[in-house]
Amino acid sequence: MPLMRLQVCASLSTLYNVGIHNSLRVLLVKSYSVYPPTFIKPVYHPEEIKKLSAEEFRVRLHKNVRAAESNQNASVFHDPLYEKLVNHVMKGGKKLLARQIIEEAFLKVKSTQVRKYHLAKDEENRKNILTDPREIFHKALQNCKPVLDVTPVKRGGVVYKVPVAINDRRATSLAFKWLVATSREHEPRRQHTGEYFSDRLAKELLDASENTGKTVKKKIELHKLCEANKAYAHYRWT
Amino acid sequence: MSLLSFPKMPLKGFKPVRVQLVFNHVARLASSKSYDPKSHDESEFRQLEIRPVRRDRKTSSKARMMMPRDYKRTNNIDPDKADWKSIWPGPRSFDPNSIPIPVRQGRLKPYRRAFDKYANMELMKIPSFFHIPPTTIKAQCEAIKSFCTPFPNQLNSKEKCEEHFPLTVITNDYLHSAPTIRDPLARIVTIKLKLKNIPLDEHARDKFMRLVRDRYDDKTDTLTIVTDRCPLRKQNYDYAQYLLTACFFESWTVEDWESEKTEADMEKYIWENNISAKALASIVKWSPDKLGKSIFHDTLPADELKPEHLVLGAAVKKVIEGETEEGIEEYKKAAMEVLLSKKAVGLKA
Amino acid sequence: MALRILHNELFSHHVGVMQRLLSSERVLSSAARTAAALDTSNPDGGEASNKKTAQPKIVASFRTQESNPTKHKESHLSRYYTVPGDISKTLFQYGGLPKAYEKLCHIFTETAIMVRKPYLEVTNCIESVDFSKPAVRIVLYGKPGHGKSMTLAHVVHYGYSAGFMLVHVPWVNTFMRRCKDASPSESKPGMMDVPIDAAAWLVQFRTQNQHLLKTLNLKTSKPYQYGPRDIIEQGEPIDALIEFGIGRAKYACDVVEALLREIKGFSNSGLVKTMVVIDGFNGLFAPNLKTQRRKILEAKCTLALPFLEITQFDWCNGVVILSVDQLAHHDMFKAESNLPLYLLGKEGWEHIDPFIPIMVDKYDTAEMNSSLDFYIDRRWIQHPGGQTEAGRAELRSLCAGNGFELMNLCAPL
Repeated sequence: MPLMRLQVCASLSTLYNVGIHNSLRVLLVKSYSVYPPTFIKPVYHPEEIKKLSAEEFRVRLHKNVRAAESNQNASVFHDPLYEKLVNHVMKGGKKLLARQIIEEAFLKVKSTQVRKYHLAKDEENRKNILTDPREIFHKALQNCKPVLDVTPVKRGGVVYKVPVAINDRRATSLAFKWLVATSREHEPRRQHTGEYFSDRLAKELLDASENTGKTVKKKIELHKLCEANKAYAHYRWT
Repeated sequence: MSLLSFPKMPLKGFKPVRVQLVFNHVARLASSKSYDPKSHDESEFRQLEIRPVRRDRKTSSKARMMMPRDYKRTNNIDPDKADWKSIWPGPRSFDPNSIPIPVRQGRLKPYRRAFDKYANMELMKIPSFFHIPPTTIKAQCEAIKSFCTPFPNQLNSKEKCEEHFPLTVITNDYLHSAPTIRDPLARIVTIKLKLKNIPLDEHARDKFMRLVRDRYDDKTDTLTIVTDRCPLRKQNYDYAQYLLTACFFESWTVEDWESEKTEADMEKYIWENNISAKALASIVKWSPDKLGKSIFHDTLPADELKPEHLVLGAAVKKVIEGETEEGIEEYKKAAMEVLLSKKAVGLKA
Repeated sequence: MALRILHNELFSHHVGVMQRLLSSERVLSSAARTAAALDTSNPDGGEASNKKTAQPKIVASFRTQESNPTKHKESHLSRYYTVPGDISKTLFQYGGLPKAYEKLCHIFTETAIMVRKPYLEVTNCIESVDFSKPAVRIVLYGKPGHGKSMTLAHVVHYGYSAGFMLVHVPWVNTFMRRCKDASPSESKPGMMDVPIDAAAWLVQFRTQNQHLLKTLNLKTSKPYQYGPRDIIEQGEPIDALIEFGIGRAKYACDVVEALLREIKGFSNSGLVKTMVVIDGFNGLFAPNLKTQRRKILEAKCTLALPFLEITQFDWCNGVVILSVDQLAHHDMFKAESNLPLYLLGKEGWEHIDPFIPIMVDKYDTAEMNSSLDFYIDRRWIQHPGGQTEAGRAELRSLCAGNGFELMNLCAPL
């Protein structure tokens, strides 16, 4: 479905370029933003600002800029991917709770790894222990990202699962989805063992950073499906 | 909410909106004259005008130049130079045409001005004091000056006044334009007195406080007694005097049951009577033979109290009366002085 | 370039403000660090050179090698020392460190405590106490998270090293507000016993004072009879009394009372010097008892009595170090002040007056830097941003000198 949307967007932009009247575009694309399309997104982080060239500054000088969002800040510890994870974990708009849970999970990752690090006496062993929770998270995310996805295509009354290449955005989104979904799989409340979401997320992050665990398995299964349906690949075009 | 507003500088020659409306009306009357069918020549063939055309627009501009007759007195008065006594000689209800300044009165709504003075019922309802502006009062004061005695010039400072007349009696007189000259509020008598002016010892003062309760203000050291229960001022005044006298003498009497006063009944914290002092005394007078007795609270006679003990007492009192970080810090210093044998090496802050 | 600068100002004015705020701190912190580095040679030099023969170990500026708290002095201020593993286990096995910090110690595989000003004040007071006079009471106060419990932990180590007998209550509210079990007392009608907690405290007491109990050979001064067959004769070793209390939890509260009275007696007769350390002392004045299951019992707790008794001044050869805490207040969410009189109430104040109040203030810049360095060294802060001056400054300003806050802020980094 998202792929479809992408295609619609692409075709619209061509139409617009060709010279279709603006109102048509307004009819087709529903924008819920409070900002008109002329407003550009802000560069809010000092590190990002440093990277901007003088030319980019000059361009930005005369444009209207949107206000920064509530989770965009100038902290040294700010990480857009982390914020994304918060959004994926969040339920019912309770962002603070989601953030606390993730911080807890990171704490748990760090606790196990740092203790392991301090218990390992020789330098050689220590080098191999990843202790930075952010690094582990980024690595886990990288390992969970699929390369291919399947999309349903109807041919002669039969729906085929056709493998398609996906872009990074979609891959990241899938990786987040899987990470959170596998961490949410839990035993029924009655048999609760005291293992919380944060525990499972921590475990999942650690596993995925070593290319094992349920999430990575999910990715591999998808890749296998794509491999099996390789023969239908041309349905994408024909 | 009502608002009565006097701009500081009234606009000179300001014409209120209403005048403007009248002017417009007159102009319209003048221009309508040209439509009068009688003015036309009878012999002339009259055309049927399905949609009448105004032909004599140019002439109407002349009519617009006409000024209406200014029938309002206010417009001829300069408020700065006006003789107020002649404008408004005595009390009466408000008249917009006599007051040469734009007055407004009425409930304020957001982004609206209050109603102006014309046909404003609110302005007519309230009593006005236009008959006694400062200039008039001044003149009247001058007039009655010959009937007054001069203020004694020895009482040239507030301190002297207070010294010779410690008791202040406050009454109010009311004047009406009503058939009666009495006002029920005139009977109320308030007397004020600084407590330093009457002789009270520790006990008497404590008892006096309890008797007068909230009539005493400790910030200004002032006792205020208000009497209003009798119908006449004279009676109320006598009653106030009686109350003051009675309280004073009652506070000096000591009843038998007053010896039963406990720590909880104390008005203020007296360190010497409290456990704090007793505990300190026990520590100071401690000797090894007192061991094993579970708790011992001694008293320290006044001559054995060292200056550091008194400092500790003062610090405790300060903390109990209002705990602050500074107070605790003070207490710490005092306690270290008393409790530690060698002086603890001061740490650099 | 000018444009660029302008934009920097425009886009990140708040960042700019923050950085400007920090620049002064930065100067301070670097100054403090150099000063500390210069100092290192002074107090640690002798010890270090004796121990290390082959290679002199380079000690980081935020650490000190001096692990004997009796030798800590001003030159060690705002530096961490490590409590030796076995001592740490003896002293803090059953509590004594704040819960969160205990976890941290487990992760770091070391118990490190910072030498701070309030600790030195306490030890200065203890050193100038005349032990032939009634016990001096010292009370720590301050905002939650500023380090009262850590200072007490440090003091406990001091007491252990200086050979005091330790009467240490790690947190009063473990039995006043979260008692495991409560049953009506037999010896004191109308009051409640907390047998399990009392027995647990006896276990802790035995562990902390093992060495003294073994060497001093203390004997009971009078016979104790609890049940028809539960008799402890006069002159039996004090261990027997403790053993009995642990074994028969039913009588544990009475045993604690007897034990503390015995200890008072030993101190009075000069056999031992005793240090009483009670964290969250104001909790003892709570009007009622609350169980772990949040049931409020309208009765006084018998275990509170012996601790109240030993904090009085009717004995000598002892020193009493207490802390009053907003979190130990019986209604902690309504506690408005962290000053002693407010927290203790009139009754509590009169119980310990005159005492020496010592304020545990927030971290100063040197302490802040030292703890940041410590966390970076122990890999508690690993975010690359956290090791830059900007990141440190951000943490400093966010926690506002509160050590507990800092620890929590660093948790996900």
